[in-house]
Amino acid sequence: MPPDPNNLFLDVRDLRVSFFTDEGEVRAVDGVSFGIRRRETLALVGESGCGKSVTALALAKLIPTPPGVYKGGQVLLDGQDVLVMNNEQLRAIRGARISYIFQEPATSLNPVFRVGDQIKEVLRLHRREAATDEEVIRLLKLVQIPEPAQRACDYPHQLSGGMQQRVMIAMALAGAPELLVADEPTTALDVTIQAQVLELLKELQRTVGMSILLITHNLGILSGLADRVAVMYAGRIVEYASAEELLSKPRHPYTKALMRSIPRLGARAERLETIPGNVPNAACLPPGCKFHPRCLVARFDCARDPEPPLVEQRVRCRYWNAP
Amino acid sequence: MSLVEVRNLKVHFPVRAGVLPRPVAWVRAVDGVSFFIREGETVGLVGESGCGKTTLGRTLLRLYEPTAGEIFFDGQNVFTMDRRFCRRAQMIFQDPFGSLNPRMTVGEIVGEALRIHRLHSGRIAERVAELLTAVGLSPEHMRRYPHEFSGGQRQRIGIARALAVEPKFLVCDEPVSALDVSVQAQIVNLLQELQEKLKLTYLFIAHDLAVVEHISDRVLVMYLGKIVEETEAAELIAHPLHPYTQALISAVPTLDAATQRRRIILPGDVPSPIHPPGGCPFHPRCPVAAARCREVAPSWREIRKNHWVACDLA
Repeated sequence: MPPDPNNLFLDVRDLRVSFFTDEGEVRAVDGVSFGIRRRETLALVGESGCGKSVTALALAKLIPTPPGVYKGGQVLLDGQDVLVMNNEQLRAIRGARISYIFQEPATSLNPVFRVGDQIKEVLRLHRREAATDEEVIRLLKLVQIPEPAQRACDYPHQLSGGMQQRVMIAMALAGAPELLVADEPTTALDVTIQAQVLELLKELQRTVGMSILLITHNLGILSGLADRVAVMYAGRIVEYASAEELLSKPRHPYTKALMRSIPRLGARAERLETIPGNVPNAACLPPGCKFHPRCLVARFDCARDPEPPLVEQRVRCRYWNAP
Repeated sequence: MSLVEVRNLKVHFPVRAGVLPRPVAWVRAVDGVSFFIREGETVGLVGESGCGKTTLGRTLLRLYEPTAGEIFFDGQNVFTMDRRFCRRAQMIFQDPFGSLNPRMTVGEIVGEALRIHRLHSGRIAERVAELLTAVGLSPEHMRRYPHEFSGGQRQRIGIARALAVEPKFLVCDEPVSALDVSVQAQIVNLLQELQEKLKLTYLFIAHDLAVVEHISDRVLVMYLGKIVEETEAAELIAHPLHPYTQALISAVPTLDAATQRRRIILPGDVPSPIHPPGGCPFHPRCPVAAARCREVAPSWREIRKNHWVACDLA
């Protein structure tokens, strides 16, 4: 069920973002709507190129224009549309109300500054009164970095990948954001470190009380962390449900295929199931349902008729219930 | 009959300092490793970043000189073999973006080894087309450059390059960890199909146990330069004996919210291989370590049939 719109702290309505390239208009995000409540974790799931990162960047109007163009829609933050704000208003939001952590901590940190100074820079920009060594150490402690005072004097290359990602999270938390956007935060990390970082995010959400938008291609990391899940394909949301419902009773053929392609421990099969073909080129999408060329249960009208709306606000497929 | 046999292999790298750089310490990346790989078998090698698994894989192909120990390939010591060894053992790399030269076309990349080894001379283009088809690409892709391909397609190009010289043995170093889950499945299936068709032998290096269990016959678990557990894939998942293996298994992301296993979160990172901890190298992070683990290095014991472990508490 979609949440009560009055209760939303972030409300994205019919967001459309295009890029103009040599091949023509690429509709990276094509009519995406979702909402996030306070202290809630929403996961945005999909393969590379489905538009999930563009959606995330658009929330703080971070898409460079050109080549990007905001073609329509609204991003309402407590009722105010982020997409019509001027630079000054945007600066007051970025890093302060919405902050980001990205996939590659090594390339997001500046290699020539000590990590403590990089955290302090965020504090100077957004919480000037708190720009002290004590606050830097408190933040490093919050993300469970051992010996925080010594680590604050380290350069990024002296830290392991897991520690670098913790520093990134500390920087993101420095502005005391209401929403943390985590774009593939654990994809570059080992499974053991991934488990540590996911556990940390869960705990921080409880103690700090922020909302999280988690972006990932791996449905496997959602259970226990996400409250609701939106599955994206070719710039659209194709399924939207509570995490529990989605993982136990997926409806869209794409979601089902994604889940089947994950190898499971102890359930050894001859071959892993795959989704035939590739993600379509966003510059020339197929007519009708965008997933039909790769869909195992597609019928002829899936290609002929316009794409269906989200049936029952949950799944964008006419035949989800077909045998 | 084992195709690859490794005896007490050690690879140590010097840490240099000073004006006239002299080694002041040694990184013990691989520190006394022995195992074998049978012909036609897939052996999985799992462990966290920094445990030495990539160094081990590269040393098998003579990309690093070992400090001590021996490697036999088909009964021959590989350090006495000539360039023909390179034709029989090849590598697939982790990063499909960094391992293909952006200035070469796919045809040049795949055909380069053929020219170096003077194979198929006069019909290199034909052979490249054949290879591209075998890995699920099409011959027209030959004239394109790497940046025109997706991550999964690039990994297919890397596989075609490795297969060009008709090797018997492939070291696959994290071949799917940079890919989306859905694409991972395609590449894993491709590797399995090629193995059956071409009778290949694999060393499959990864940190994700779910993928390793799926593709491997036997699995080696590595920690800080040493192998801590070795057994058949299904046995390892059903009865993990080493506390490190148990933690690795519990860290694998799972879809089943209801039956989600209790996660064992290992504290901290892998310690530095310059000053590995004494006794059992795993004791500082081990949830069940006893006092003696700090003092005594564990012995290598066969606890169940074909199931070896380096833990005195198992």
